[in-house]
Amino acid sequence: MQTKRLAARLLLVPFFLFTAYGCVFFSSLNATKTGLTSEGKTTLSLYSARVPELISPVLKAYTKKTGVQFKLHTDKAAVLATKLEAEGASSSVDLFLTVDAGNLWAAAEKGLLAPTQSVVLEKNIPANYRDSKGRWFGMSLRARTIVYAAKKVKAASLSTYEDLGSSKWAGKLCLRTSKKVYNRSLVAGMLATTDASKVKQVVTGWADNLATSVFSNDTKLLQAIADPASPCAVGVVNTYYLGRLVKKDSAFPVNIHWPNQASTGVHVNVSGIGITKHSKNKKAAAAFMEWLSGTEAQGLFADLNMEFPANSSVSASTLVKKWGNFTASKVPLEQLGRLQLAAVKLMNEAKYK
Amino acid sequence: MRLSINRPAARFDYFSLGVAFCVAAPIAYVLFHSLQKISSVLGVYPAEMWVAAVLKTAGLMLGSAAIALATGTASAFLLHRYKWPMQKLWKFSAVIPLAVPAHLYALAALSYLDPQGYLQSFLREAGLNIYWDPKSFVLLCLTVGISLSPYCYLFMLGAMRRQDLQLEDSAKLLRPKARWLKGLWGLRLALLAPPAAASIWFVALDSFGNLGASVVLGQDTLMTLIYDTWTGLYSFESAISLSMVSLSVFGFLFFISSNKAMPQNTQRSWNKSKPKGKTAAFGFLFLGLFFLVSTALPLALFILQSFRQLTGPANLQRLISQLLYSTGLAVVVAMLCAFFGMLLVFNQHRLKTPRWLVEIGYTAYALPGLIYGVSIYLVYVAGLELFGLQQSILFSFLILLFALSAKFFAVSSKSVHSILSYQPAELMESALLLHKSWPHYFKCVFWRGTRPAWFSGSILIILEVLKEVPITMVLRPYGFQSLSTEVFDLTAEGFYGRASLPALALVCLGFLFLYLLDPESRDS
Repeated sequence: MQTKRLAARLLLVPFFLFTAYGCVFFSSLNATKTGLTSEGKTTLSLYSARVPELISPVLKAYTKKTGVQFKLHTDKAAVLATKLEAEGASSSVDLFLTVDAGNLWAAAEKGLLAPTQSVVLEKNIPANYRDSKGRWFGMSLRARTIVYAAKKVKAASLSTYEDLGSSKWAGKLCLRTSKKVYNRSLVAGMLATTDASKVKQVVTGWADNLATSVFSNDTKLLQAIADPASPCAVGVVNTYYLGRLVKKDSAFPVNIHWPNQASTGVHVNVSGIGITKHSKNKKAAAAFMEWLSGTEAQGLFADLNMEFPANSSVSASTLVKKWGNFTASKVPLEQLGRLQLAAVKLMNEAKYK
Repeated sequence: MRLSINRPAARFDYFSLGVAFCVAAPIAYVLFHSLQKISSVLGVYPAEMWVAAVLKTAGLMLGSAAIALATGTASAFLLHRYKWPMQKLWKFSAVIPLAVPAHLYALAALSYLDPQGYLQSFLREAGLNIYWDPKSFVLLCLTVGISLSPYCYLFMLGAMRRQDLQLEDSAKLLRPKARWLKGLWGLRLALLAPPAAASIWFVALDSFGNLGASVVLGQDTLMTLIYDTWTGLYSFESAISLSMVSLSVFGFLFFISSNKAMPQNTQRSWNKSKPKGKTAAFGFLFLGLFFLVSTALPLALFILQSFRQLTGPANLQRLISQLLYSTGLAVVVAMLCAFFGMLLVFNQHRLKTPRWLVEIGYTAYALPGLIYGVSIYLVYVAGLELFGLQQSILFSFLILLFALSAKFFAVSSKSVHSILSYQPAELMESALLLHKSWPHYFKCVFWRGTRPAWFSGSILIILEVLKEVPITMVLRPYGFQSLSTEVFDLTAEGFYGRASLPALALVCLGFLFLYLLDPESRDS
């Protein structure tokens, strides 16, 4: 016992020194690998709500092409927005990248993003996938669509998002939690085109039809739909979650249905980026955004997460193309942010957890 | 010859005041700026949602405390009273949950109990037509309670080892026909009440601030509502206000310290020969099943399942870097907490600091990590602006170290306070008569008496920092990712395969520090 104590004490000091060195070694290692160094070259600082795996390859490609280095900091969108707001004029962040138009709209409304006038960006990104004042631009699209178990549901019985609230889906519908911004934006999109009382009726129908308690993520939801023993037969997910599962197992028994083709179209959302208000490298940041919206980068950025490129002249990956063509919603995405609060309130009143 | 005792006149504890100010000032700062914003979100949530969240939070605190106390006390009692084969292994197993973050525990429980999990899949293959959704409030209480049970186990085991067994034998002589349970209730539990209360304090506050497990298991507690207010409605000020209001309802009830003084006539008694028998066999079964089903098995299966989902080569370089960063951060925070905590507790012990001042210093432990982390960040940025400084990696590190130290120094300090409460009041007087000065008293009495508690408290802090997510995420410097934040990020996005190696590394690192705990200091 005495020997163990002595060993622990003797080991602690060199261990501490080793870990301190390790931290320094790590930072330089990380810098070499991902371009996180600020010696000589222009360095752009990026706050990203996307995990590093989904953005680092793009940053590396740009560094290789132009020599511009990046400092990447990832966190939840709300945390990053709060930090940006707190930093104010002393902020050294140049770019803010996040998912969902609701998050982008909120950041813009808080005054965190600067308007960017760019002919290239306006040409590459359709108007309904960017802010009307040029504060943010969508760089990749994801559809939040209906999925179903082929062995439990006939494709012909599926039609619209609203139809999922009807009694024929009682005990068969499974959904992700209403707290996730993706579902809030979906309901916000419905509020943009339909009367609030009707939307509330639909959402109440969803809540009543739930076969199980809500899922915390789309992956678990898809696995439940695929499970033959599960009562879940139909659900609503982002397409890239299905893509990830199909990539692992090509025989994954869940199919996509594109709803509302004859009316409002499939709900789509974006991963988007904007230049921060107090950026010291606005020109370099705009150049990066223009490159990201171009044909060279769009494929890479969208393919990382099996999304659709926002630039319509760039085609999606083979796997994504297999899902077929669809009519997307024409609702300007900045409306999704404006209606988020109303959507949250409506979902709470409809008891959709 | 007249002996003079070098006792200072009763004076105010300015050091504790300074610590309390540093810890609580960021909270007061954001509270001052936030209170007016609270009304903007109250209408978004229906009244019944608030009531349900409050009741669920109270239920979670009580339920997890009860489960932690029951399992921790039972484990402590069985391991203290009876002799088992592989005794050390069982003692180690009792503290395994300390090494595992609560949200990882919830994920492990779900992977085990989920409809697609091992248990239900096995039952369906056996022919049972079963499809059961395990996500429930009861599972949340169970998960949180079991993940926090080591605190109760450690407190109770230490208290049991201090109990005078001759006292119990004497009681049996007086009332030979008294049943075992009556003897237990009338005698043992009365003596165990103070450490039980102290352990309930830790468990209740930890479960109050629990977010990860509540989100994973889909339960709406106050913390999830507060988190949702911030991340979903972009109303950080309202989130702060709600946090303060809910803290005042629940948290301050627990700020009344549970460290009541032990009876003066207790003494250490090591029971070397431990009986075996029917109770031992039953207890062995309980222990074995409990540890297997609740601790080792779900965790092992979750990590195994995640490994199966791993596609592509693992980034070992990144993993090693994160390992080093996580360990270095945890060790430095533990050292800071031990150093400043020692000065603080010694000062409070010497000057008989008022309880309210002591408890204000522990406020940060009571607050949810996310809220405290961002409060610190707001003050940090305001401070940089005030002094005209630019953000840098060094400042980011320093502020992260400060926030983690302020949050967790209560872990070691509280356990030392508990140890000091066992000391008779005359001990200090006698020691001062002999040593005549405070530095001598510190070296020969205070340090020697509390050294095991500081060491085990430091190990506990290391384990807490390794598992900690919210403060580490908010305040971490550019480019630095710890193991726990990596696991949290990846599992939130559904990248279970990529999270498997960091999760395994995190758990192994936790096991390593658990093993470093000396059995005596761990048990005490």
